[in-house]
Amino acid sequence: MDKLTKQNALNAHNWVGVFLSVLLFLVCLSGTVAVFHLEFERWEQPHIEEMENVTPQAIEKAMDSFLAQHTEESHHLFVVFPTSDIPRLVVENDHVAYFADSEGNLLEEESVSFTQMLVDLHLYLNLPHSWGMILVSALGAIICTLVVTGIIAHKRIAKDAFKLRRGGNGQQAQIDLHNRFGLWATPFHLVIGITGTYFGLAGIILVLVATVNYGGDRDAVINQIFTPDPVIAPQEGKPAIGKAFAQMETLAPEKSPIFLTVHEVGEPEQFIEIYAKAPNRMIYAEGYRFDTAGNFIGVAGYEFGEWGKQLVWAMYRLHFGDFAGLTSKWLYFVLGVMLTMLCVSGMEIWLSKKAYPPLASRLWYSTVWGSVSALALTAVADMFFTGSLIAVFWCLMLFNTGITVGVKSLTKPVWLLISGLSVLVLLIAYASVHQSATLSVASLQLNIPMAVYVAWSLYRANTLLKRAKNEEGEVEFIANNNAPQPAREKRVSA
Amino acid sequence: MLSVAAGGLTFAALGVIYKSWRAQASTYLYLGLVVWLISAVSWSYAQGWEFGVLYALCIPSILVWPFIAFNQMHLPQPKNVPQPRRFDFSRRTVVGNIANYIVVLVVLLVVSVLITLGICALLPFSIAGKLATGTVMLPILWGLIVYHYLATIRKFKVIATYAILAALCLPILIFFPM
Repeated sequence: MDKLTKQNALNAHNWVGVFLSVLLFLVCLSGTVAVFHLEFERWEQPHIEEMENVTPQAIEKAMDSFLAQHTEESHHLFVVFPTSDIPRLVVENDHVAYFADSEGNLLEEESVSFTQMLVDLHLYLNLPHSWGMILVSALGAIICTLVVTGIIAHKRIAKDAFKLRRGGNGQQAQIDLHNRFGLWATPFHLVIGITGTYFGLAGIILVLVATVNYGGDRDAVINQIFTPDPVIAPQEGKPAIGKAFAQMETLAPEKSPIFLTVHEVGEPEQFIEIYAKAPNRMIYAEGYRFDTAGNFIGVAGYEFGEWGKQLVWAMYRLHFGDFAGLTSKWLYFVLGVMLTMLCVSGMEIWLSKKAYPPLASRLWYSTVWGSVSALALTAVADMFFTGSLIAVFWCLMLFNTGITVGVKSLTKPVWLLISGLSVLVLLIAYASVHQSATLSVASLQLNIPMAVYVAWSLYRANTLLKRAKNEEGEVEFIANNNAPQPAREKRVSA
Repeated sequence: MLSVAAGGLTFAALGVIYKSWRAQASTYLYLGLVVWLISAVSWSYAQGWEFGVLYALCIPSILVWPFIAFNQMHLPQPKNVPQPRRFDFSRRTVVGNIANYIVVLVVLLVVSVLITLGICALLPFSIAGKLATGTVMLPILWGLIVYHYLATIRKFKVIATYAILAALCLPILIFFPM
């Protein structure tokens, strides 16, 4: 490939990477953390009873108790089974969700505000959902641009494939890390880019196809991709969810039931659908359908349906890494950290080429490490505050930006230190609020990684602060012995 | 057990590719690729082909780091420290960048959706197959068009060309309904 093509690709890579860096970083960071969104839901209420399985009688009892307390109109009823990725029993309608114990007694209302805020940040950047999702989806296509331009622009892609040159002024190490993350994890980046684009743009494609080919009837298009509701004789009465659930052992013994939905509650079209995860398959689930009396009607046909249907139905698990339990989640988490580091190192390379302009550098570090701090402090606020967590998070981000403009000493190590201390505050607040439940599996599976982050960030910040101090001493030494070196001072302060 | 063997084969494939890189010998590269293919088959046997392909593609990005760490080197401190450079906030640059945002995120979105659907409408699949192909093709096409737009100096010509292509796709969508 000629030099001009590579230079043009680099120009495109630079523009996209720099001008969309903050959005890409926030989506990648929140997405990496949100890999564990189900674990965060458990973490928010660690004292709730957990179980491996549940009886049909307990499900019936839990739903009866729930309906007795919640008579508000709802088009759906849901039961989340402990065989889903959350080992708890949850009964809910369109408005509210309650946990139940293994006997079917209602426990307390589900409250997962922080997880919702985190997932909202990832899916919509906390913007209005209609165009927030389109913007985030656009970033999926932007990731594809970055992958392609990054590969074309790399002048020594094969020669440097295993190189990591540390030391010096750190710039080469950043470039090497960026290129190694980018090259070796290319398949993952493309998977995330392509599946991420699907979530927002499927709606646009749907509207366009419905408008042009189906006279604006969106359901007509949806019914051709996803299985339409079954045509059944008019239904009435209480849905026999226990009877339906009991049949799963014979209908699909190899599958894990995730949740049950009662569609069109109280309408003649009412039916029950149980979604069950197929082993070693990427599709979200197969749907098992029952009439109101709990008689099996048929399957939705995702598992052995047409390839196009299976592909679309696999997008969720492929994007969120939720297909092989904690193994795939940890794999996606590590790869997600690489993708996030790719954003960070890319921007740091750009800043280093500009010799670290002080304010721009501080603003970038406040975004990167300040957002970790803001997320941690938002989780703390959630324990003592019932208002909007989105407002809390963005107020903290604004505060971080304001303070970093005003205070010149808020350098990269200081922000790293702040992020570590914020997570430490979160762990302390969590322990004081949840007390003995802090030692439950639901808590520890996230608190231990967070404690590791605290230890790493404090150690790393301390190392960087010491290094900056040494460099400052060196600058003073040179200044006292030779000519003044203002650029060096500026770099150190950045 | 087969998963552990598949992981070992992936690591071995990386080791052979690393050796080919060190020795600059293409024979080892081909051997490494063959071992990697065997690892992909092993992953598929162990986990089903859907998970297997994903693991075979993604796990090397983690297992490669011991080789990179083994090969790392330290550079000396540079003697020259450059002056921080100022940003260009001239009106022309700001307007240019805003225009790029609008084109990349809005205009090329519309263009790539229309071209993708136009191509998919001609494919010999059912509507589910066409739309599934479209969901995979759209981000790649959009990404490539963004690359083309940002890489060229003849930006208006590129936009006009893609706009004409997108306009041509509209009759395809109407006359070849999904």
